Amino acid sequence: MGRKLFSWTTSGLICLSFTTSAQEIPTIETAGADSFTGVQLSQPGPWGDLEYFPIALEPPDQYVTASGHLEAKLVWHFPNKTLTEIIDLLATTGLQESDINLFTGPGHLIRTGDQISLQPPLDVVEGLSPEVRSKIYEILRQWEQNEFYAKPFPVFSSGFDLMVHESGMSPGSIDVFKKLSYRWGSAPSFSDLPILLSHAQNDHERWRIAKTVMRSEGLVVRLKLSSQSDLESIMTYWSSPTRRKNLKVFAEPLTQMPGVNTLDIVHLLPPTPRKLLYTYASPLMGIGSTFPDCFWTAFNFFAFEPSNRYLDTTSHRTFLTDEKWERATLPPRFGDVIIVTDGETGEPMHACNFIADDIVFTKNGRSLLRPFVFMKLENVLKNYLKSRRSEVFFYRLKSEDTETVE
Amino acid sequence: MIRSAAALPLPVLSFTMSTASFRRLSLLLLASALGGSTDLFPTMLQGQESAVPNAPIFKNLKPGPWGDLESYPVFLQAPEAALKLLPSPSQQTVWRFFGTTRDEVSALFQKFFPDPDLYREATVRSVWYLTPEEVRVHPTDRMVLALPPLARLELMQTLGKYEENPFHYNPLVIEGQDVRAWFAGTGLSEPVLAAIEATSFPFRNGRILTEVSYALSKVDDEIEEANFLRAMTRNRSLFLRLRLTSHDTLAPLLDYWSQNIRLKETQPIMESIIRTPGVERLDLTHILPPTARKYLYTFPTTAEGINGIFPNSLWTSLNFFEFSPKVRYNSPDKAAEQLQSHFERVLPPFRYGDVITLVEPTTGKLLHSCIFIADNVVYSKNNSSMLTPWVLQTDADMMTHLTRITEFQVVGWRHTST
Repeated sequence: MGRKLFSWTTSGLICLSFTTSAQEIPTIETAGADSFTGVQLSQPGPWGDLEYFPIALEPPDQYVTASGHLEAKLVWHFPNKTLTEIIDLLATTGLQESDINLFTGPGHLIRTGDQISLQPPLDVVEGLSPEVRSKIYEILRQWEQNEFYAKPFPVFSSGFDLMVHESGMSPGSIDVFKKLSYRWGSAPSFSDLPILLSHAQNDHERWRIAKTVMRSEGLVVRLKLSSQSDLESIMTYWSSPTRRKNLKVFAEPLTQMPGVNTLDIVHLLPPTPRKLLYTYASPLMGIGSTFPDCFWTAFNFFAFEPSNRYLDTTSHRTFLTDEKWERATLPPRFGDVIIVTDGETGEPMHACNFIADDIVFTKNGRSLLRPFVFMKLENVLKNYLKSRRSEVFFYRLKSEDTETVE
Repeated sequence: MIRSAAALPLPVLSFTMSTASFRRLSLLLLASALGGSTDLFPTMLQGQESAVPNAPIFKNLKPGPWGDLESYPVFLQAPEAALKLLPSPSQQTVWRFFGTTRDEVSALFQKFFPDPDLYREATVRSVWYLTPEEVRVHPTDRMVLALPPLARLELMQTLGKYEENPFHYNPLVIEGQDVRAWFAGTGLSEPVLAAIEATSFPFRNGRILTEVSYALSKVDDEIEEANFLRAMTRNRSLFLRLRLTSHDTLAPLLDYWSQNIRLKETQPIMESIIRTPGVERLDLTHILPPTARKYLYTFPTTAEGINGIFPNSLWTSLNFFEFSPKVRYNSPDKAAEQLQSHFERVLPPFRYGDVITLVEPTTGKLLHSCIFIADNVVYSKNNSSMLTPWVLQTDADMMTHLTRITEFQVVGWRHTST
């Protein structure tokens, strides 16, 4: 079991501050040793004894096709930069002068109006040292036009081997995938889909590469029950605060059977997260081009029908100060909203819901390619603790707003 | 539109439920219809002796293309918030006959009570109210107790045509023959249990109680009355788990369970189960589509009636694969339109996601529908009541709940995008 990010033993309002280094660890370590360790156990708590194991989720085929990533080309955008400025920028990364000349030379430099972009040769980029690539990517990600660098594909925190297991990729492609993966902050990441796709031996593998890179990790979490379980206490934890569903009826039979049995906690979730768990948002859930994100997901946790008011991105601060939510006191409870803010600006960066121990319910980003999942909080935070200082707050639905939902 | 048997050119399975044993008759009709096949509907209608609440046990479903499924029963009861909306019934039994005369009711009683003394009690000593619209009878306790099972069935069919007889219209269903096992742990006293045993009657896979007022008259106090009302909403549902052990057997399972348009891919989840040491089973809930998963094992909330209509079986079936449920499927006409335009008729063996409809034989009117899951298990909501949950249950248990459906034809439908 991994190191606990938080300890819930202190008291008072919950606000946790983190200071992170902007330095990147160039490559991911060889993963795999922890990928197939089977079922792991949570810390016991009022939630009972939980066990969990990682799963890999793939977006539906039509989403992969619609993403356009299958045809992605390696293009580096430098908005509003002159050629001289671009050359100077590349020179700061340790890129050799010959490569700079190659990248900015005929056939690789593209002018669109007064904008310049580069299409460097795939094999040359693949051959760059991790340190150089890391520095180049740090430059590229400041512009959102460089989608794969600004928002790289997350590589599984729970292990690279898990991510590529039964993926249909050739061993050679898997090696390239692993070699080009890197850490952004502490988050294992991948940006070089066009290079990886060029290694596909055929169209099928090309398809499998795209689907694999777009995989997301999640956890299956199950409650362990036996005749010794204190069912009343455990169900009290999972029933709060807005539930009218009699959760005990699901668990009780398992306590009457021989041995230890498990109940998937999907049955203990309120209706909306139960519906969404392990799924990808439907385009029909959006308003215009705005689709459900972490805030929509977190604030709708207890709602029977999700409110699209939470699609209004300008209102995140409002949600935290409106009449429905209040700052939570320790210990955290089932469904509490966890808010990650930029310590400098106070701007909310991410939200998710506390489930139990260090497990949360989350949707990491607005993209339709990111599913609703259970994750360990520390793995979620790896993707958001990238600013110099971050803070984590807990919010709880006020008791007067806890109308029954199911 | 499904309008008549003539409009149903594919073979359909016909059933008639008279006062004879539904199960026996169904099997006879079935054998005729299918040449003795033992596919789904023979399984569906031959029924199974019910497991009892105190004996939870994993039970294997019949092997099939769905793989190795195991189940255990869970017993759902309506939440307190819903029970608070339920008015306490009177302890006085009332039988309300509409569109009939005193003489016709007397003739019915003569059939029900061949004993002259009882007949006299029914026609002379019990209280009758006569209006142009109805004949209202307050039977004595002796009459209520003396009704033979076939008379109870006939009385249910007669009175159950009218919502004014709430417990003949929507009777209490006991899924199984053992009354005491069914009500185990509900806090009902011996006199109440004895009253239920005495006045309930066998029906399909279980027992039916229409004389709720009589049983209620035996409660000791308000606490037991609350327990009684709570127990009335008891439903048996099934938890299902799919056993996954080998990649070698995965392809046919994926073919079976990956129906229709899905917002998640089943394969990686199944592979994760196979890959993980110490894990062999996947809760079937994860395979169900989002809307079905959201509603499974729950009772409707008042919010679901916000459009003026609570979800019924048609809503449940036609929204099974819909991410956002459509209210219009509550309407039999709209549901039939949807079936005709987006589904094709199929015969057994059915497969996951097929809509199984029960239609009125002469008019083709949709009476009920459910979703085929595997073996003899369906996903269903048996009526639009707030006290009726969405369940996975055996088709035999489902049929026990459909007390107002007597003659029907079975028509299977498969989405054309499948």
